[in-house]
Amino acid sequence: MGEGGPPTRRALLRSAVAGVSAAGVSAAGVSAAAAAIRGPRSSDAHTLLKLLNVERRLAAAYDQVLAAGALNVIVSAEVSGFRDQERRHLAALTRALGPIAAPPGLRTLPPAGPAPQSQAAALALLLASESHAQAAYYDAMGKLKDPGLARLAAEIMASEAQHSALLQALKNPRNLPAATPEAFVTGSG
Amino acid sequence: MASDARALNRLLAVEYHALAGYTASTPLLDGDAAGVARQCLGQEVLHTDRLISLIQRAGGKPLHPQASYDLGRPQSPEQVMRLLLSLEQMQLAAYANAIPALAAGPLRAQAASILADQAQHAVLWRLQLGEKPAQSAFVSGRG
Repeated sequence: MGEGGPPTRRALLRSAVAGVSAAGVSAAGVSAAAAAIRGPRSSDAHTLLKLLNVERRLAAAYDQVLAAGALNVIVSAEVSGFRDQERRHLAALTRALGPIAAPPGLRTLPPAGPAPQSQAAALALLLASESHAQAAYYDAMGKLKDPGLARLAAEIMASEAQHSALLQALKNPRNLPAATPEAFVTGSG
Repeated sequence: MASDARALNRLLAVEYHALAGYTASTPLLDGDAAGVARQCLGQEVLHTDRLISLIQRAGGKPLHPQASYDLGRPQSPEQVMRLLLSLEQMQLAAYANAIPALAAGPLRAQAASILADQAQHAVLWRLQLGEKPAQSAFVSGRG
């Protein structure tokens, strides 16, 4: 900190990162905290905010499908598990953004369309939502600068890909190879 | 660029290992498992080709596969599937570790798109084995 004036932004960043390091936070956590501290104009914060909104929409789609009651018991149990994982994605992105995430951090959005009336329609809705999310993460992976945030986003993107594969398998259990149709998962916006 | 080529060659090494596993294992499976194995094998070939291309573009020299790989001696279809699942887990860990080491930009996106596909392979093997398929919200090969 300089004498006779407010601390510089660089000094604040150094002391914040040092504090987080002293607390024994992992490299990913330190990097994520640093990204958040740089402020809402930093490109990584902007990218994470977009992903946070994508996850909110995805969580809303899962909530809507489960509330609609169109899934059989077995499928509903599987889909509930995916919904729980989406909530963990939301929580992780919210933590990474820190004070920049719009409060409350785990807020989901209202449904984008009418409730699905059949299991097929419900699975189609979730598949489309997951594909949209994968496209958003693929785009983000090309933009994120911080290595820890890049790793976090990659691990979440892989989770979304797993959800797609399993939703596809639930939709068509007799054609499992169709659950992994593309060698390079990029989603579709 | 040189560090990217090294990181990509580490990924190519694990892809070769997985290719060897799938090549040896696919004829030992039948039914749904054989279909999944053939699909995964075809995609591992495409991953390998892509990595070779990326390494060359990064100014590096792609590794060659080893003469042989230790795949154990699976005695049943279940053991074969467990081998393939373990190879997918190995790849997941390799890609998850490689991504932060790659230069920011398109290379990370390409690696993430392959990681996501490997994650899909892993859940299909867990399904075949009767295990909980999506075990973690953050897929890194550790779960």
